[in-house]
Amino acid sequence: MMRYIASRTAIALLSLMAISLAVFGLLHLDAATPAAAILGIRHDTPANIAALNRAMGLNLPVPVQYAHWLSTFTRPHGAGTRILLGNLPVTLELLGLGMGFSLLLGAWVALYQVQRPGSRGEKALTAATYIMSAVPGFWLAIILVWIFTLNFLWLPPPGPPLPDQMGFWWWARFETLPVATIALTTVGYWSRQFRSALEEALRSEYVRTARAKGLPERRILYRHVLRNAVLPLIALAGLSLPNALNTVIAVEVIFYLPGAGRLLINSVNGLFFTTATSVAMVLALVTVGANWLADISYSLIDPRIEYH
Amino acid sequence: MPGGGSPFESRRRESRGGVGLTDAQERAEARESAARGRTARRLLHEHGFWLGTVLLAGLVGFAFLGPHLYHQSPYAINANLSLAGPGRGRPLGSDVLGRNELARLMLGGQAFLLIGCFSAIIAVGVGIVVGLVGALGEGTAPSLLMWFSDTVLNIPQVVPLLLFEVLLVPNVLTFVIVIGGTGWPSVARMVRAAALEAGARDYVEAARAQGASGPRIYFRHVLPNIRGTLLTAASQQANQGVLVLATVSFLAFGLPPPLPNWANMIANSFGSIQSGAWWLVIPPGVAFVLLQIGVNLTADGLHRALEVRTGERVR
Repeated sequence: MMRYIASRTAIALLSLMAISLAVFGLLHLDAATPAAAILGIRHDTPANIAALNRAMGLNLPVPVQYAHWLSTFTRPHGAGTRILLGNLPVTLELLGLGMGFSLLLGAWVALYQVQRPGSRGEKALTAATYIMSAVPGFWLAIILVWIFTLNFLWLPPPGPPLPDQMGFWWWARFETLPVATIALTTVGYWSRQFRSALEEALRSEYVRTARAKGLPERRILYRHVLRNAVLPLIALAGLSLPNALNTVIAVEVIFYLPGAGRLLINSVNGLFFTTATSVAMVLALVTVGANWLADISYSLIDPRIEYH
Repeated sequence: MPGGGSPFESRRRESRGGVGLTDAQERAEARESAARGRTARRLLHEHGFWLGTVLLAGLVGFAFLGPHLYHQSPYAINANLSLAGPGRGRPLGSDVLGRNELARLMLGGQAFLLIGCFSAIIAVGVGIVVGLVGALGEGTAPSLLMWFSDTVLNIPQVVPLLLFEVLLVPNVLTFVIVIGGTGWPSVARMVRAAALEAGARDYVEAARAQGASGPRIYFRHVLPNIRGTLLTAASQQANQGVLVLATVSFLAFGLPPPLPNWANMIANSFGSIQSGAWWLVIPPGVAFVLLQIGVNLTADGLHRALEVRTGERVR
């Protein structure tokens, strides 16, 4: 057990190191590029590029630069902690709420479909989730903004809250559409995964035993099957995170949420390379960390997993 | 399209003379060739497959033939028609600059279809090799490859595109390479899982016992038997690639402006929807959704028809 946890931890740390090298190396494929991009076409003479490279420390050997970048990232008040404490909570809030609602809705849809196979409601839900998983998040966000804040004025439009818009109620109103976007674009995936997990579990021996004992079908489904079907989804939750983050980045930009995704876009836009790479690193920290957590918790909950 | 698989069939029949097949294997082949006719017939009854094919063909025709049939410039600016709604001569209205929205919608599909298709081909090609080696290879290579694959899988695909954007020239080829080059790990994962299952079956053991080499086992025995998975992986990859491209284009890092694409058409209309110009937002989004649904329906239908044939579990 401890060996398994240790090896997962080592693998996660190695992944993070590889990603940090890749992210850093990406911007050093060509030493002139960052300076040239900052200077623009009118000023990117070799002399100017050399001067700016000197000022930014880009003329130093690459390993030295990497060490410097890493120390800037990991320092107590460095870029990493700033993003972790300042921007990441917004992103995680959006991601957590969106995926939470998506999971609940997906579970409900799957339970309904499993209980009434072939019914009209089941077919309608299948079609609806099929279509929803084809809808791009940023488009859905724009449509929702159009319907709910411009046409009906039910919710506040995207943008930072005004000084008098404080408290839980306002926060909930601001978060509704972003969270709905994340939840609705991922619900198709989750309902399908839940459904196949439930159907798999319904075929197993213990269900036949429970039926033979004469247990009511609802009790079998909710007491026995659901618990076993939820387990494999833990690993999938970790795996689906990178794709969910793609949507989160776009949603943060549309709704002016000051999260890590918006910071990434702003810093790439403004050619702040250190910030951009730091945000990319923080996002990798989230996905690698989440998958590590999923692996560990899965092995803790389900003792049947093999260790090697 | 992967999953057609006829080359594998013909080669398998050639091999019959060389290595003596057992009765059971011959019977299995006879069953298989009989089943092949049934697959075609079964495909006829897959309404989803036909709906998806029609959708895809319609979209490809719309994007590639449309501009040749509908002779309106997608670039001509007309200030008088700024944000004009749908009307005579302009079925989908005009954008802020008064450009013909229908003509732009046609041209805007081309890049999407090309990038989705070719990035999926790259991703599936790399994914197959990595997945097969990861499942059936020997030594430390499989675990090292899968570690690398999982590491790449952990990075949200939009992020490298955003970082690359500054360094590379944004054109169709760049996007094909970067999207394909970051998309393969999910294919590798699916291929590995399927190949592990297929590799544990008796016929692989039999082939190994006959002294077949590694690549021969991979490509002749395992690959044809996981073609359903490959089909799903390819369709998912095409959709995922297009979605990533759309998201990045929406964030204004996509293909350069004069050429329209569905995502930057949506992005540009974000401002105009406040003046009620729904005709700029709805059509590109609907085209995008239809593309994804078309790919999914086609692949799912084909998969269902194949699944029975290859003896995989039928849902």
